[in-house]
Amino acid sequence: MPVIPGEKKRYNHEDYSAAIIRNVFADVIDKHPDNVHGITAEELCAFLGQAKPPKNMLFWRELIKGQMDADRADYLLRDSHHIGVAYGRYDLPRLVATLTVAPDPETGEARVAVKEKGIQAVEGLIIARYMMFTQVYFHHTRRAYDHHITEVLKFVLEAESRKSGGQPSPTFLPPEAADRVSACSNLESYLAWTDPVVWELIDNRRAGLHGDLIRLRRHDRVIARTSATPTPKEVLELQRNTLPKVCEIGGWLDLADCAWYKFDKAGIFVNDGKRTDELSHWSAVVKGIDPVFQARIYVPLDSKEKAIND
Amino acid sequence: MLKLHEVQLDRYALIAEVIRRFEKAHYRLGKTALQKIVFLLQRSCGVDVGYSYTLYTYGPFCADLARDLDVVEAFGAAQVSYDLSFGGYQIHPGPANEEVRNYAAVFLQSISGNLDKLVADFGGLSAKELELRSTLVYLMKPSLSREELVQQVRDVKPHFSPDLIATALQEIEAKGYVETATNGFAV
Repeated sequence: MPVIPGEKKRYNHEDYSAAIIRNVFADVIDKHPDNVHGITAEELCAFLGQAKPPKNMLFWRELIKGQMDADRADYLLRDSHHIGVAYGRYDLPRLVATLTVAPDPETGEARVAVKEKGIQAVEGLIIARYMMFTQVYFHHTRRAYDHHITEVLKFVLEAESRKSGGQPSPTFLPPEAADRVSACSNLESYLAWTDPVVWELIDNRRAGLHGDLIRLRRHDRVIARTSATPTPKEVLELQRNTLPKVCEIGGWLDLADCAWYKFDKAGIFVNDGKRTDELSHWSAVVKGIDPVFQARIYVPLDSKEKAIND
Repeated sequence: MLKLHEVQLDRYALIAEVIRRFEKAHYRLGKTALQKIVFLLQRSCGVDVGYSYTLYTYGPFCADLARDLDVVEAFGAAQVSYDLSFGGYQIHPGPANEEVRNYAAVFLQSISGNLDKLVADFGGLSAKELELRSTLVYLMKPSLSREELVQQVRDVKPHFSPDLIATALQEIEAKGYVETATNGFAV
Protein backbone atom coordinates (compact mmCIF):
# COMPACT_ATOMS: atom_id res chain seq x y z
CA MET A 1 0.00 0.00 0.00
CA PRO A 2 1.25 3.57 -0.64
CA VAL A 3 2.43 5.88 2.12
CA ILE A 4 -0.12 8.43 3.36
CA PRO A 5 1.05 11.91 2.25
CA GLY A 6 2.70 13.75 5.14
CA GLU A 7 2.73 10.68 7.40
CA LYS A 8 5.04 7.77 8.06
CA LYS A 9 2.20 5.26 7.90
CA ARG A 10 0.83 3.44 4.88
CA TYR A 11 -2.80 3.21 3.87
CA ASN A 12 -4.46 -0.02 4.99
CA HIS A 13 -7.27 -2.04 3.48
CA GLU A 14 -9.80 -0.28 5.70
CA ASP A 15 -8.81 3.08 4.16
CA TYR A 16 -9.58 1.61 0.73
CA SER A 17 -12.90 0.16 1.96
CA ALA A 18 -13.91 3.55 3.39
CA ALA A 19 -12.93 5.31 0.15
CA ILE A 20 -14.92 2.78 -1.91
CA ILE A 21 -18.01 3.31 0.28
CA ARG A 22 -17.60 7.09 0.04
CA ASN A 23 -16.93 7.31 -3.69
CA VAL A 24 -18.70 4.31 -5.20
CA PHE A 25 -21.55 3.27 -2.92
CA ALA A 26 -22.58 6.56 -1.25
CA ASP A 27 -25.66 7.18 -3.39
CA VAL A 28 -26.85 3.57 -3.14
CA ILE A 29 -26.53 3.55 0.67
CA ASP A 30 -27.89 7.04 1.32
CA LYS A 31 -30.92 6.63 -0.95
CA HIS A 32 -31.70 2.95 -0.44
CA PRO A 33 -35.39 2.37 0.40
CA ASP A 34 -34.46 -0.20 3.07
CA ASN A 35 -32.20 2.28 4.89
CA VAL A 36 -34.98 3.16 7.33
CA HIS A 37 -32.56 4.21 10.09
CA GLY A 38 -31.00 6.88 7.91
CA ILE A 39 -27.45 5.52 8.25
CA THR A 40 -25.25 7.46 5.86
CA ALA A 41 -22.24 6.34 3.85
CA GLU A 42 -20.11 8.90 5.70
CA GLU A 43 -21.09 7.32 9.04
CA LEU A 44 -20.06 3.89 7.75
CA CYS A 45 -16.72 5.33 6.59
CA ALA A 46 -16.15 6.82 10.04
CA PHE A 47 -16.58 3.36 11.59
CA LEU A 48 -13.82 1.93 9.42
CA GLY A 49 -11.27 4.71 9.87
CA GLN A 50 -9.49 6.20 12.84
CA ALA A 51 -11.86 9.18 13.14
CA LYS A 52 -14.60 9.56 15.71
CA PRO A 53 -17.92 8.22 14.45
CA PRO A 54 -20.98 10.47 14.87
CA LYS A 55 -22.54 11.04 18.27
CA ASN A 56 -23.80 7.95 20.13
CA MET A 57 -22.48 5.55 17.50
CA LEU A 58 -19.00 4.89 18.86
CA PHE A 59 -20.10 1.91 20.94
CA TRP A 60 -20.97 -0.03 17.78
CA ARG A 61 -17.39 0.21 16.51
CA GLU A 62 -16.54 -2.84 18.65
CA LEU A 63 -18.82 -4.92 16.44
CA ILE A 64 -16.97 -3.78 13.31
CA LYS A 65 -13.43 -3.52 14.64
CA GLY A 66 -13.03 -5.35 17.93
CA GLN A 67 -11.85 -8.63 19.44
CA MET A 68 -15.17 -10.32 18.63
CA ASP A 69 -16.14 -8.32 15.57
CA ALA A 70 -18.16 -9.49 12.58
CA ASP A 71 -15.02 -10.15 10.51
CA ARG A 72 -13.40 -12.32 13.17
CA ALA A 73 -16.66 -14.17 13.74
CA ASP A 74 -16.93 -14.85 10.02
CA TYR A 75 -13.45 -15.62 8.70
CA LEU A 76 -12.77 -18.72 10.82
CA LEU A 77 -15.94 -20.46 9.64
CA ARG A 78 -15.58 -19.30 6.04
CA ASP A 79 -11.91 -20.30 5.77
CA SER A 80 -12.55 -23.69 7.43
CA HIS A 81 -15.29 -24.41 4.95
CA HIS A 82 -13.29 -23.44 1.88
CA ILE A 83 -10.03 -25.05 2.99
CA GLY A 84 -11.77 -28.23 4.09
CA VAL A 85 -10.58 -28.31 7.69
CA ALA A 86 -12.65 -28.46 10.86
CA TYR A 87 -10.28 -26.46 13.07
CA GLY A 88 -12.09 -23.13 12.66
CA ARG A 89 -15.59 -24.31 13.56
CA TYR A 90 -17.28 -23.00 16.70
CA ASP A 91 -20.82 -22.28 17.84
CA LEU A 92 -21.51 -18.86 16.31
CA PRO A 93 -25.29 -18.80 16.97
CA ARG A 94 -24.68 -19.55 20.67
CA LEU A 95 -22.01 -16.87 20.86
CA VAL A 96 -24.32 -14.27 19.29
CA ALA A 97 -27.19 -15.33 21.57
CA THR A 98 -25.06 -14.78 24.67
CA LEU A 99 -23.61 -11.37 23.73
CA THR A 100 -24.33 -8.57 26.13
CA VAL A 101 -23.21 -5.08 27.10
CA ALA A 102 -21.21 -4.85 30.33
CA PRO A 103 -19.07 -2.32 32.20
CA ASP A 104 -15.33 -2.45 31.64
CA PRO A 105 -13.72 -3.86 34.82
CA GLU A 106 -11.22 -1.01 35.07
CA THR A 107 -13.16 2.03 33.91
CA GLY A 108 -16.84 1.14 33.94
CA GLU A 109 -17.24 2.05 30.25
CA ALA A 110 -19.73 0.03 28.20
CA ARG A 111 -18.17 -2.89 26.32
CA VAL A 112 -19.36 -5.80 24.25
CA ALA A 113 -19.11 -8.90 26.46
CA VAL A 114 -20.40 -12.46 26.71
CA LYS A 115 -22.78 -13.67 29.39
CA GLU A 116 -21.51 -16.37 31.76
CA LYS A 117 -23.56 -19.01 29.97
CA GLY A 118 -21.67 -18.19 26.74
CA ILE A 119 -18.23 -19.02 28.15
CA GLN A 120 -18.02 -22.35 26.31
CA ALA A 121 -19.03 -20.69 23.04
CA VAL A 122 -16.34 -18.03 23.38
CA GLU A 123 -13.79 -20.64 24.49
CA GLY A 124 -14.68 -22.44 21.26
CA LEU A 125 -13.98 -19.23 19.33
CA ILE A 126 -10.55 -18.75 20.92
CA ILE A 127 -9.55 -22.39 20.47
CA ALA A 128 -10.71 -22.25 16.84
CA ARG A 129 -8.65 -19.08 16.35
CA TYR A 130 -5.61 -20.75 17.90
CA MET A 131 -6.01 -23.91 15.80
CA MET A 132 -6.55 -22.02 12.56
CA PHE A 133 -3.56 -19.82 13.29
CA THR A 134 -1.16 -22.64 14.02
CA GLN A 135 -2.50 -25.13 11.44
CA VAL A 136 -3.51 -22.83 8.58
CA TYR A 137 -2.66 -19.11 8.70
CA PHE A 138 0.87 -19.60 10.04
CA HIS A 139 1.48 -22.95 8.32
CA HIS A 140 5.03 -22.88 6.97
CA THR A 141 4.07 -23.53 3.34
CA ARG A 142 1.19 -21.06 3.34
CA ARG A 143 3.46 -18.36 4.77
CA ALA A 144 5.96 -19.01 1.97
CA TYR A 145 3.19 -18.34 -0.56
CA ASP A 146 2.21 -15.15 1.31
CA HIS A 147 5.77 -13.99 0.68
CA HIS A 148 5.72 -14.97 -2.99
CA ILE A 149 2.32 -13.42 -3.75
CA THR A 150 3.44 -10.18 -2.06
CA GLU A 151 6.50 -10.09 -4.33
CA VAL A 152 4.31 -10.92 -7.35
CA LEU A 153 2.02 -7.98 -6.58
CA LYS A 154 4.97 -5.62 -6.20
CA PHE A 155 6.30 -6.80 -9.58
CA VAL A 156 3.03 -6.52 -11.50
CA LEU A 157 2.08 -3.18 -9.93
CA GLU A 158 5.47 -1.75 -10.81
CA ALA A 159 5.16 -3.07 -14.37
CA GLU A 160 1.68 -1.55 -14.63
CA SER A 161 2.78 1.86 -13.37
CA ARG A 162 5.69 1.83 -15.81
CA LYS A 163 3.32 0.93 -18.65
CA SER A 164 0.97 3.79 -17.82
CA GLY A 165 3.90 6.23 -17.90
CA GLY A 166 3.81 7.02 -14.18
CA GLN A 167 6.58 6.86 -11.61
CA PRO A 168 7.40 3.13 -11.22
CA SER A 169 5.83 2.08 -7.93
CA PRO A 170 5.26 -1.36 -6.38
CA THR A 171 2.06 -0.21 -4.64
CA PHE A 172 -1.61 0.35 -5.49
CA LEU A 173 -2.71 3.88 -6.35
CA PRO A 174 -3.76 5.80 -3.20
CA PRO A 175 -7.45 5.75 -2.18
CA GLU A 176 -7.47 9.52 -1.73
CA ALA A 177 -6.67 12.22 -4.27
CA ALA A 178 -6.97 15.96 -4.71
CA ASP A 179 -10.30 15.61 -6.51
CA ARG A 180 -13.11 13.07 -6.62
CA VAL A 181 -12.52 12.12 -10.26
CA SER A 182 -8.89 11.16 -9.56
CA ALA A 183 -9.89 9.28 -6.38
CA CYS A 184 -12.55 7.32 -8.30
CA SER A 185 -10.04 6.54 -11.05
CA ASN A 186 -7.52 5.25 -8.47
CA LEU A 187 -10.19 3.10 -6.80
CA GLU A 188 -11.32 1.72 -10.15
CA SER A 189 -7.74 0.68 -10.84
CA TYR A 190 -7.46 -0.87 -7.34
CA LEU A 191 -10.70 -2.83 -7.75
CA ALA A 192 -9.54 -4.13 -11.14
CA TRP A 193 -6.76 -6.12 -9.45
CA THR A 194 -8.86 -9.22 -8.96
CA ASP A 195 -7.61 -12.76 -8.31
CA PRO A 196 -8.24 -13.89 -11.94
CA VAL A 197 -6.23 -10.92 -13.28
CA VAL A 198 -3.22 -11.77 -11.09
CA TRP A 199 -3.52 -15.51 -11.77
CA GLU A 200 -3.59 -14.88 -15.49
CA LEU A 201 -0.35 -12.90 -15.25
CA ILE A 202 1.22 -15.73 -13.25
CA ASP A 203 -0.04 -18.32 -15.74
CA ASN A 204 1.31 -16.31 -18.65
CA ARG A 205 4.73 -15.96 -17.02
CA ARG A 206 4.35 -12.20 -16.67
CA ALA A 207 4.61 -12.06 -12.88
CA GLY A 208 8.38 -12.22 -12.44
CA LEU A 209 10.52 -14.73 -10.59
CA HIS A 210 8.06 -15.19 -7.71
CA GLY A 211 5.22 -15.77 -10.17
CA ASP A 212 7.25 -18.60 -11.67
CA LEU A 213 7.95 -20.05 -8.22
CA ILE A 214 4.21 -20.12 -7.51
CA ARG A 215 3.37 -21.60 -10.93
CA LEU A 216 6.00 -24.35 -10.60
CA ARG A 217 5.32 -24.85 -6.86
CA ARG A 218 8.99 -24.26 -6.12
CA HIS A 219 8.29 -22.14 -3.04
CA ASP A 220 10.96 -21.12 -0.54
CA ARG A 221 11.70 -23.61 2.22
CA VAL A 222 12.25 -23.30 5.97
CA ILE A 223 15.81 -23.98 7.13
CA ALA A 224 15.58 -22.81 10.75
CA ARG A 225 12.87 -22.01 13.25
CA THR A 226 12.32 -21.21 16.90
CA SER A 227 9.88 -22.99 19.18
CA ALA A 228 6.23 -21.80 19.11
CA THR A 229 6.73 -19.62 22.20
CA PRO A 230 10.43 -18.85 22.17
CA THR A 231 12.53 -16.83 24.54
CA PRO A 232 13.72 -13.46 23.23
CA LYS A 233 17.22 -14.94 23.13
CA GLU A 234 16.07 -17.71 20.79
CA VAL A 235 14.50 -15.23 18.36
CA LEU A 236 17.51 -12.94 18.45
CA GLU A 237 19.83 -15.86 17.79
CA LEU A 238 17.88 -16.55 14.61
CA GLN A 239 17.70 -12.92 13.55
CA ARG A 240 21.27 -11.87 14.34
CA ASN A 241 23.25 -15.05 13.70
CA THR A 242 21.40 -17.18 11.16
CA LEU A 243 19.65 -14.57 8.99
CA PRO A 244 22.78 -12.63 7.91
CA LYS A 245 24.33 -15.87 6.64
CA VAL A 246 21.48 -16.49 4.19
CA CYS A 247 20.50 -12.94 3.20
CA GLU A 248 22.74 -13.02 0.14
CA ILE A 249 21.04 -16.11 -1.25
CA GLY A 250 17.57 -14.58 -0.78
CA GLY A 251 16.88 -15.78 2.77
CA TRP A 252 14.22 -13.99 4.78
CA LEU A 253 12.81 -13.98 8.30
CA ASP A 254 9.13 -14.64 8.97
CA LEU A 255 7.49 -13.82 12.27
CA ALA A 256 4.12 -14.95 13.56
CA ASP A 257 3.57 -11.31 14.44
CA CYS A 258 3.56 -10.38 10.76
CA ALA A 259 0.84 -12.89 9.80
CA TRP A 260 -2.38 -11.41 8.41
CA TYR A 261 -4.59 -12.87 11.14
CA LYS A 262 -2.75 -13.02 14.41
CA PHE A 263 -3.65 -15.20 17.33
CA ASP A 264 -4.73 -13.17 20.32
CA LYS A 265 -7.02 -13.77 23.25
CA ALA A 266 -6.93 -10.46 25.14
CA GLY A 267 -9.84 -8.05 25.26
CA ILE A 268 -12.74 -10.54 25.37
CA PHE A 269 -14.93 -9.97 28.41
CA VAL A 270 -17.36 -12.15 30.34
CA ASN A 271 -20.10 -10.83 32.60
CA ASP A 272 -21.87 -12.95 35.21
CA GLY A 273 -24.50 -10.37 36.02
CA LYS A 274 -22.38 -8.83 38.78
CA ARG A 275 -18.84 -8.57 37.54
CA THR A 276 -17.02 -8.28 34.21
CA ASP A 277 -13.62 -9.90 33.72
CA GLU A 278 -11.41 -10.92 30.86
CA LEU A 279 -12.10 -14.40 29.50
CA SER A 280 -8.75 -15.75 30.70
CA HIS A 281 -9.89 -15.04 34.26
CA TRP A 282 -12.87 -17.36 33.78
CA SER A 283 -11.35 -20.01 31.56
CA ALA A 284 -8.38 -22.16 32.51
CA VAL A 285 -8.37 -23.46 28.93
CA VAL A 286 -7.84 -19.99 27.46
CA LYS A 287 -5.47 -18.94 30.23
CA GLY A 288 -3.29 -21.93 29.39
CA ILE A 289 -2.86 -21.05 25.71
CA ASP A 290 0.41 -19.20 25.23
CA PRO A 291 0.76 -16.51 22.57
CA VAL A 292 2.36 -17.81 19.37
CA PHE A 293 5.57 -15.95 18.63
CA GLN A 294 7.43 -18.30 16.35
CA ALA A 295 10.10 -17.08 13.93
CA ARG A 296 11.31 -18.94 10.84
CA ILE A 297 13.99 -18.46 8.22
CA TYR A 298 13.24 -19.34 4.61
CA VAL A 299 15.60 -19.70 1.66
CA PRO A 300 14.97 -20.41 -2.06
CA LEU A 301 14.50 -24.13 -2.76
CA ASP A 302 17.63 -24.26 -4.95
CA SER A 303 19.76 -22.90 -2.10
CA LYS A 304 18.33 -25.04 0.67
CA GLU A 305 21.06 -27.67 0.72
CA LYS A 306 23.82 -25.05 0.58
CA ALA A 307 22.21 -23.02 3.39
CA ILE A 308 21.87 -26.07 5.63
CA ASN A 309 25.42 -27.28 4.96
CA ASP A 310 26.96 -23.84 5.48
CA MET B 1 10.17 3.58 11.84
CA LEU B 2 10.22 -0.15 12.49
CA LYS B 3 10.98 -2.42 9.58
CA LEU B 4 8.71 -5.27 8.60
CA HIS B 5 10.03 -8.70 9.52
CA GLU B 6 12.15 -7.41 12.31
CA VAL B 7 11.73 -8.63 15.85
CA GLN B 8 10.06 -5.72 17.58
CA LEU B 9 12.16 -5.75 20.68
CA ASP B 10 11.70 -2.01 21.17
CA ARG B 11 8.02 -2.63 21.81
CA TYR B 12 8.55 -5.45 24.28
CA ALA B 13 11.29 -3.54 26.07
CA LEU B 14 9.05 -0.47 26.27
CA ILE B 15 6.26 -2.48 27.90
CA ALA B 16 8.75 -4.01 30.36
CA GLU B 17 10.14 -0.54 31.15
CA VAL B 18 6.71 1.02 31.79
CA ILE B 19 5.94 -1.88 34.13
CA ARG B 20 9.25 -1.40 35.98
CA ARG B 21 8.77 2.36 36.34
CA PHE B 22 5.24 2.06 37.72
CA GLU B 23 6.43 -0.57 40.19
CA LYS B 24 9.35 1.59 41.28
CA ALA B 25 7.09 4.61 41.79
CA HIS B 26 4.54 2.45 43.70
CA TYR B 27 1.79 3.24 41.20
CA ARG B 28 -0.78 0.67 40.21
CA LEU B 29 -0.46 -0.39 36.55
CA GLY B 30 -3.45 -2.07 34.93
CA LYS B 31 -4.12 -2.94 31.31
CA THR B 32 -5.97 0.33 30.69
CA ALA B 33 -3.17 2.42 32.17
CA LEU B 34 -0.57 0.64 30.01
CA GLN B 35 -2.63 1.29 26.87
CA LYS B 36 -3.03 4.98 27.66
CA ILE B 37 0.57 5.61 28.74
CA VAL B 38 1.93 4.13 25.50
CA PHE B 39 -0.66 6.11 23.52
CA LEU B 40 0.43 9.36 25.18
CA LEU B 41 4.07 8.47 24.59
CA GLN B 42 3.40 8.07 20.86
CA ARG B 43 0.99 10.93 20.34
CA SER B 44 2.20 13.59 22.75
CA CYS B 45 5.90 12.77 23.01
CA GLY B 46 6.42 11.76 19.37
CA VAL B 47 7.96 8.37 20.23
CA ASP B 48 6.56 6.20 17.43
CA VAL B 49 6.85 2.48 18.10
CA GLY B 50 4.30 1.72 15.39
CA TYR B 51 1.20 1.03 17.47
CA SER B 52 -1.98 2.01 15.68
CA TYR B 53 -4.74 3.17 18.01
CA THR B 54 -8.47 3.21 17.37
CA LEU B 55 -10.98 5.17 19.43
CA TYR B 56 -13.60 3.19 21.34
CA THR B 57 -16.01 4.21 24.09
CA TYR B 58 -13.24 3.22 26.51
CA GLY B 59 -10.76 5.56 24.84
CA PRO B 60 -7.87 4.89 22.45
CA PHE B 61 -7.03 1.18 22.31
CA CYS B 62 -4.48 -0.85 20.34
CA ALA B 63 -5.06 -4.60 19.93
CA ASP B 64 -1.39 -5.15 18.97
CA LEU B 65 -0.30 -3.70 22.30
CA ALA B 66 -2.73 -5.97 24.17
CA ARG B 67 -1.23 -8.95 22.35
CA ASP B 68 2.32 -7.75 22.96
CA LEU B 69 1.61 -7.67 26.69
CA ASP B 70 0.71 -11.37 26.40
CA VAL B 71 4.07 -11.96 24.68
CA VAL B 72 5.95 -9.97 27.33
CA GLU B 73 4.17 -12.05 29.98
CA ALA B 74 5.16 -15.26 28.15
CA PHE B 75 8.78 -14.00 28.10
CA GLY B 76 8.57 -13.74 31.87
CA ALA B 77 9.02 -9.97 31.87
CA ALA B 78 5.54 -9.27 33.26
CA GLN B 79 3.20 -10.84 35.75
CA VAL B 80 -0.42 -10.04 35.08
CA SER B 81 -2.87 -10.91 37.82
CA TYR B 82 -6.47 -10.15 38.53
CA ASP B 83 -7.01 -8.14 41.67
CA LEU B 84 -10.34 -9.22 43.13
CA SER B 85 -10.40 -6.46 45.72
CA PHE B 86 -9.93 -3.80 43.07
CA GLY B 87 -11.87 -5.40 40.24
CA GLY B 88 -9.14 -5.01 37.66
CA TYR B 89 -5.72 -6.16 36.52
CA GLN B 90 -2.36 -5.52 38.13
CA ILE B 91 0.80 -5.76 36.11
CA HIS B 92 4.10 -6.32 37.92
CA PRO B 93 7.63 -6.99 36.65
CA GLY B 94 8.45 -10.65 36.07
CA PRO B 95 11.83 -12.36 36.59
CA ALA B 96 12.93 -11.66 32.99
CA ASN B 97 11.98 -7.98 33.08
CA GLU B 98 15.56 -6.74 33.13
CA GLU B 99 16.63 -9.16 30.40
CA VAL B 100 13.91 -7.92 28.02
CA ARG B 101 14.70 -4.28 28.79
CA ASN B 102 18.37 -4.90 28.06
CA TYR B 103 17.58 -5.99 24.50
CA ALA B 104 16.64 -2.38 23.70
CA ALA B 105 18.68 -0.48 26.28
CA VAL B 106 19.75 2.26 23.84
CA PHE B 107 16.16 2.91 22.76
CA LEU B 108 14.94 3.03 26.35
CA GLN B 109 17.74 5.42 27.27
CA SER B 110 16.68 7.71 24.41
CA ILE B 111 13.11 7.99 25.72
CA SER B 112 13.94 8.02 29.41
CA GLY B 113 13.03 11.71 29.84
CA ASN B 114 9.65 11.17 28.16
CA LEU B 115 8.86 8.25 30.44
CA ASP B 116 9.94 10.21 33.53
CA LYS B 117 7.46 12.93 32.65
CA LEU B 118 4.61 10.57 31.72
CA VAL B 119 4.91 8.54 34.90
CA ALA B 120 5.16 11.69 37.03
CA ASP B 121 2.19 13.33 35.29
CA PHE B 122 -0.14 10.36 34.92
CA GLY B 123 1.12 7.53 37.12
CA GLY B 124 -1.11 8.44 40.05
CA LEU B 125 -4.32 8.68 38.03
CA SER B 126 -7.06 6.06 37.95
CA ALA B 127 -7.84 4.13 34.78
CA LYS B 128 -10.95 6.25 34.31
CA GLU B 129 -9.01 9.52 34.65
CA LEU B 130 -6.37 8.31 32.20
CA GLU B 131 -9.06 7.28 29.78
CA LEU B 132 -10.56 10.79 29.76
CA ARG B 133 -7.18 12.46 29.25
CA SER B 134 -6.09 10.11 26.48
CA THR B 135 -9.45 10.58 24.72
CA LEU B 136 -8.90 14.34 24.85
CA VAL B 137 -5.47 13.93 23.27
CA TYR B 138 -6.84 11.50 20.66
CA LEU B 139 -9.54 13.92 19.53
CA MET B 140 -7.35 17.06 19.53
CA LYS B 141 -6.98 18.70 16.15
CA PRO B 142 -5.49 22.07 15.27
CA SER B 143 -8.81 23.00 13.66
CA LEU B 144 -10.82 22.52 16.88
CA SER B 145 -11.45 25.18 19.52
CA ARG B 146 -11.43 24.21 23.22
CA GLU B 147 -15.22 24.25 23.35
CA GLU B 148 -15.52 22.05 20.27
CA LEU B 149 -13.04 19.57 21.71
CA VAL B 150 -14.92 19.38 25.01
CA GLN B 151 -18.13 18.75 23.06
CA GLN B 152 -16.48 16.02 20.98
CA VAL B 153 -15.29 14.24 24.11
CA ARG B 154 -18.74 14.60 25.62
CA ASP B 155 -20.21 12.93 22.53
CA VAL B 156 -17.99 9.92 23.28
CA LYS B 157 -18.33 10.04 27.05
CA PRO B 158 -21.72 11.61 27.87
CA HIS B 159 -21.43 10.68 31.56
CA PHE B 160 -18.51 13.10 32.02
CA SER B 161 -19.74 16.63 32.71
CA PRO B 162 -18.44 19.47 30.49
CA ASP B 163 -16.80 20.98 33.59
CA LEU B 164 -14.91 17.78 34.37
CA ILE B 165 -13.74 17.46 30.75
CA ALA B 166 -12.68 21.12 30.68
CA THR B 167 -10.74 20.69 33.94
CA ALA B 168 -8.92 17.63 32.56
CA LEU B 169 -8.14 19.61 29.42
CA GLN B 170 -6.71 22.50 31.43
CA GLU B 171 -4.59 20.05 33.38
CA ILE B 172 -3.02 18.38 30.34
CA GLU B 173 -2.61 21.78 28.69
CA ALA B 174 -0.71 23.05 31.74
CA LYS B 175 1.53 19.99 31.56
CA GLY B 176 2.37 20.70 27.92
CA TYR B 177 0.50 17.85 26.21
CA VAL B 178 -1.71 20.07 24.06
CA GLU B 179 1.08 21.93 22.30
CA THR B 180 2.92 18.75 21.43
CA ALA B 181 -0.18 16.95 20.15
CA THR B 182 -1.75 19.73 18.07
CA ASN B 183 0.36 22.89 18.18
CA GLY B 184 -2.45 24.60 20.05
CA PHE B 185 -6.13 25.31 19.54
CA ALA B 186 -8.08 27.09 16.86
CA VAL B 187 -9.12 30.57 17.96
